[in-house]
Amino acid sequence: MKHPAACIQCGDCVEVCPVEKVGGHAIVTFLADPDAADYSVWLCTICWRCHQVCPTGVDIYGLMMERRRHEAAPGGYQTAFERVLRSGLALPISQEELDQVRAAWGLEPVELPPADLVHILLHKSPSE
Amino acid sequence: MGIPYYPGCTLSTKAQNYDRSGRAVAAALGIELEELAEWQCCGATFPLMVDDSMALIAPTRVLYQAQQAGERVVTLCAICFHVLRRSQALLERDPDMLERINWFIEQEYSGVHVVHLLEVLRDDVGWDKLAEQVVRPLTGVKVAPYYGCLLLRPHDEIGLDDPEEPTILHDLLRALGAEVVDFPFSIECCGSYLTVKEPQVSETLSMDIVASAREHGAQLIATACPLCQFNLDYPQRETEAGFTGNEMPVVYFTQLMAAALGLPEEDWGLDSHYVNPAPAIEGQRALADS
Repeated sequence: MKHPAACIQCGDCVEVCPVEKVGGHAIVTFLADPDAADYSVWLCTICWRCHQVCPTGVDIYGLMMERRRHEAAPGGYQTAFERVLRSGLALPISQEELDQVRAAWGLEPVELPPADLVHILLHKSPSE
Repeated sequence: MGIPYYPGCTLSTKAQNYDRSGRAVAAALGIELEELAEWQCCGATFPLMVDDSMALIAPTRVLYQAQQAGERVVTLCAICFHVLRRSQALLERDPDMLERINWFIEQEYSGVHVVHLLEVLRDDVGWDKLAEQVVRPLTGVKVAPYYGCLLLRPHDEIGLDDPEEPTILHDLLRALGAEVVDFPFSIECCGSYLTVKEPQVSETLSMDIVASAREHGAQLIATACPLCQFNLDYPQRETEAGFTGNEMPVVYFTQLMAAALGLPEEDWGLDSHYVNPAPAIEGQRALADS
């Protein structure tokens, strides 16, 4: 992984970043001060343009993903995890809605796993 | 010629029109897409962490299933293509990882070549041959080729075309007789998965792309990615106030091929768009015919 010290501040990455375009500060914040990363790291769309245009080959994408590892995930992710724990599904959709959507696409109704499936998987040992 | 084909989840549900038109145009050109006997999701995201071997299990299973069927496997979905091609590359350069994944899935995956249908059209069929098969050219239809991200980057692993100045969709559309509209947003990101968590961000990015295509005179946008298609099409949907009249239809390249190759309309799959592309295709051709 090419270190951010290789950055010559040419700004090519900023020019192509979709997140910068909508007012985020993904790459700039990051290269200027890796400790100042904010919610912007979660806005990276992984489009790979910064990686493609960097003249010195800094692995901005790699740095961004490494940063995500050390950040607390945004609230939305936490909510999704809680939903999975509660219902087994990350998105709030009822059996009825799900079957309607599936019927619209010509698919059979689906049988959802029991709501306590995740608890069973997490907390019961194979012998129980 | 028969080639193993991996449709993927999206082409079996939300993007059935991409699957249908893709199979139909391939068959019309003498390419038999043979769906893998058994397959499951590719994982939809290439592992984001350096040592995330767990996320390689799903794509490696797909690659193994493909290996059972032949030396290469063709995809249509740009996301499946991206994930599978990069998994193929990673397992080629990292024998330790290959061994580890093989041990876990209890299979002996050794290698298969992942290709996109666009590459088959370019390298196996050829643009001149394709142009010869066109019976109803898209004369006068102004199409903006939109590549997005996953089909092109990172170039050192994907290598489908020039990552900054690609031409493969341009060449295809020219072979179909369409008028290609070059516009500066053809390789910009549509916002991708942010459509789930931050829809206003992806909508802003997508509508910039649509606006640019419109400013450059396009009547249609052609893409190879189901997520790009959704992100560009959905924000233009009919609301209670109706359509604005300024809509830009977004189609898969295979749908335009089906129209140009003179295939029956049910093979075009134009029925499940938020903005109906049929007038842009047929209206212009009617003008050209008269």
